[in-house]
Amino acid sequence: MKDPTASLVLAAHLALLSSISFGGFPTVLPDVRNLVTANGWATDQEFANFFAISQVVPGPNMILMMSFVGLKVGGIPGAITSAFATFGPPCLMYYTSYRLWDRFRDRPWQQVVRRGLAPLTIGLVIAGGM
Amino acid sequence: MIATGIRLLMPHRRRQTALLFAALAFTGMVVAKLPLLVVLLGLAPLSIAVASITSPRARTS
Repeated sequence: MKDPTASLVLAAHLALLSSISFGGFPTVLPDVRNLVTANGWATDQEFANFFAISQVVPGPNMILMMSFVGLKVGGIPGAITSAFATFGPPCLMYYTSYRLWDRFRDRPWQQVVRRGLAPLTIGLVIAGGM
Repeated sequence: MIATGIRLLMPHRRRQTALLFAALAFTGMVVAKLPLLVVLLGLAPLSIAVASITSPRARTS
């Protein structure tokens, strides 16, 4: 399947998910699987294969895995778009937030926010393993 | 991934509210099968609010 619209839908979805993937991209893998299988872009077995292949090679595994998904959906352009959609938005967010976070580094609310978000992240990481 | 999550949880194991919110996030995703955004937007403000009440530093400042 080499549908440019599908590639764009996938990229938009990946960009959104990567922006909220606290605890790492594996926390949103179930959502990606639902999108991909519901649209018939890949089967459950293919998705599991992408995961397995991406885990046995070194480097940024989830970017590679999303490239595989993008490759299946839209060929080489789909793979490149998916990879950028996976790491682009979080990089931009991290850069912006770090600058803001660093500016207010001594404020007490920073510790409170960290203490509040840490358990949620942990719960999502464990849920990602189920 | 489960092991990583448990390892991350270890430093927070004495905080009952942390365990509660980790369990709620897990339950929301795995048991209730809620969308991630719903779980995050529902629990994050609550968790931060509870942390602000229970945080020693917040109480003393």
